[in-house]
Amino acid sequence: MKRSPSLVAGTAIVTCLGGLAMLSVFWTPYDPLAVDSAARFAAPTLQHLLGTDQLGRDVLSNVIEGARTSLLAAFAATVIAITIGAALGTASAVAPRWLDGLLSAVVTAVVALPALLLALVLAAARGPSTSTAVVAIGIAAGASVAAVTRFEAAAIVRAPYVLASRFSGASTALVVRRHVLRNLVPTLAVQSSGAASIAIVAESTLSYLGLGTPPPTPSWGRMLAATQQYLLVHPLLTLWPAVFVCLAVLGFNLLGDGLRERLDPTLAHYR
Amino acid sequence: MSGVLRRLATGVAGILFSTIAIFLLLRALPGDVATARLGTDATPEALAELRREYGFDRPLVVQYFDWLADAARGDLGRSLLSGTSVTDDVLNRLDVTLPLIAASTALSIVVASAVGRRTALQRRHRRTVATMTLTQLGLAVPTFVVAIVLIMLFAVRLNVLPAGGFPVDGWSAIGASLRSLVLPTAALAASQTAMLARFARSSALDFASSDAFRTARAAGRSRHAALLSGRRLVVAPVLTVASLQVATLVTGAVVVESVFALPGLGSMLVRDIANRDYPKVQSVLLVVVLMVFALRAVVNFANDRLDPRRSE
Repeated sequence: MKRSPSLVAGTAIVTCLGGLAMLSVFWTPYDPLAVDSAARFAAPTLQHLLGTDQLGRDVLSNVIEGARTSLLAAFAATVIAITIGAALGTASAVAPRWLDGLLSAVVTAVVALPALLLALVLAAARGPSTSTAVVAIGIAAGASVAAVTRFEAAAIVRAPYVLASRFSGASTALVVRRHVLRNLVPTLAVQSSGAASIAIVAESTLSYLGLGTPPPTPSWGRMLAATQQYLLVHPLLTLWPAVFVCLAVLGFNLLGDGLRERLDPTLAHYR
Repeated sequence: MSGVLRRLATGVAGILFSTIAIFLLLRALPGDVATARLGTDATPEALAELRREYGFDRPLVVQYFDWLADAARGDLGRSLLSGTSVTDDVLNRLDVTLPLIAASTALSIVVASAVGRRTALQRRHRRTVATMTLTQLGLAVPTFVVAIVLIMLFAVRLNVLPAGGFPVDGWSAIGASLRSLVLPTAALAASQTAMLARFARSSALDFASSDAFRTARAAGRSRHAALLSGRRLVVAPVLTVASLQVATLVTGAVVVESVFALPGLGSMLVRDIANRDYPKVQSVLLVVVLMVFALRAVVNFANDRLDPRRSE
């Protein structure tokens, strides 16, 4: 099998960021919240590899902690999205036509409300918090997962081997468990990658607008918002969180592309 | 014709479902609107007065249908905070938001189609590889980061365009108004263009391997002219994706307006959410949803004109 550069690069980036997030649980160079007013806006040195911010906090420590916030949010939102998507999609594929129609209508309507808008509404109703944002992003991403899953699941349900299994007396529950869900795994893997990248963008954007992760938890989006006013004098402060957000999204995008190429060899044609 | 009717019915059903979702999310969740507005130490009389004034004491079903009926007549209610008419507030701000969204949609479709055609013709060229890498990176940069980078480059370093804001007297000085929308439009169109360009490229490659393309080549047309002869087929899938991405673009506008401090619908929405102005948020969200469906209808209509097989 040909090695896919997207898959390799994506896996490498995601693994590195995941490692950083794990690391932050046990160790960061400094306490990310420790304020040192004597060392504000310090340039990068050996003590502070990425310098210090407007309150004299260590930027590297904050970026590492931010990785945990971002990836945890992405992970939780993805789990919600895949659960909702797989359940609705599969149900749609095996349900009677009227139920399929109803579910599809709901899914279409939720797809019309993008993740960020739904998150804005929930933030409005419940106040800004990471968990509110995660639930909203999960539901919204779940709708698009459901749309894709329904398509795939319907194709599986109509496959000859599933018909054969039906004729030999398999119940719908058995068909779903043994054939549909198992064959959906590759599709869902690609979809989770996409959901994770949507979630990272949405979480950082919400935090940037002040409607996501509340202080003091370090978050890339809030770091960007807080340092933006010093852009002219200390552009590096804004650069670091921006680079990490983009890197995380790029990692999940490449991972998804790579997985998709593995699944569908005809796509190599477009490279 | 039946295709148009079916699409209309789906659209209306989608809008109705969205209104129910918005209404329920804002009203049925724990927490009382009046308490949220007046604070927990408000007197019961004051709370009752506010609830009666805004009709929060009536059954939810009645409130929902009243809201819908009023909205259908063009009355979006009043702000809980300032008491101003939401319809007026929305109309005042559409003249920033609508041009922003329309310009970004058009820009991203035009640029993406051109990039797709070019990169499909020069498959292994260095420039193609560079462009495709750029689109992959463009997909990874969130809109607000693009906006910050653009401000830094063009407003702070080069100082050629305003970093934000909009002329107070609206469109009376067209030059100044246009200038203040250049960076926001570019920021909003950036990730959209990156994504559409990838679709445009694969759609152009599809056409380049079709019999129609081969026939055109055999008839003596250059590769470029042959590809151009199939431009409708190449652009149609791009429009399909664009119509699915409309909602993302509209939320992008919320973000861009906030970063550039534009007096648009989106920045108003963010402020109202922070102020917990529930009746206003509810109505503004309705307008946003209507905009999403309207813009999608426009893109779909254009697509039908390009590829008549779609509407059969």
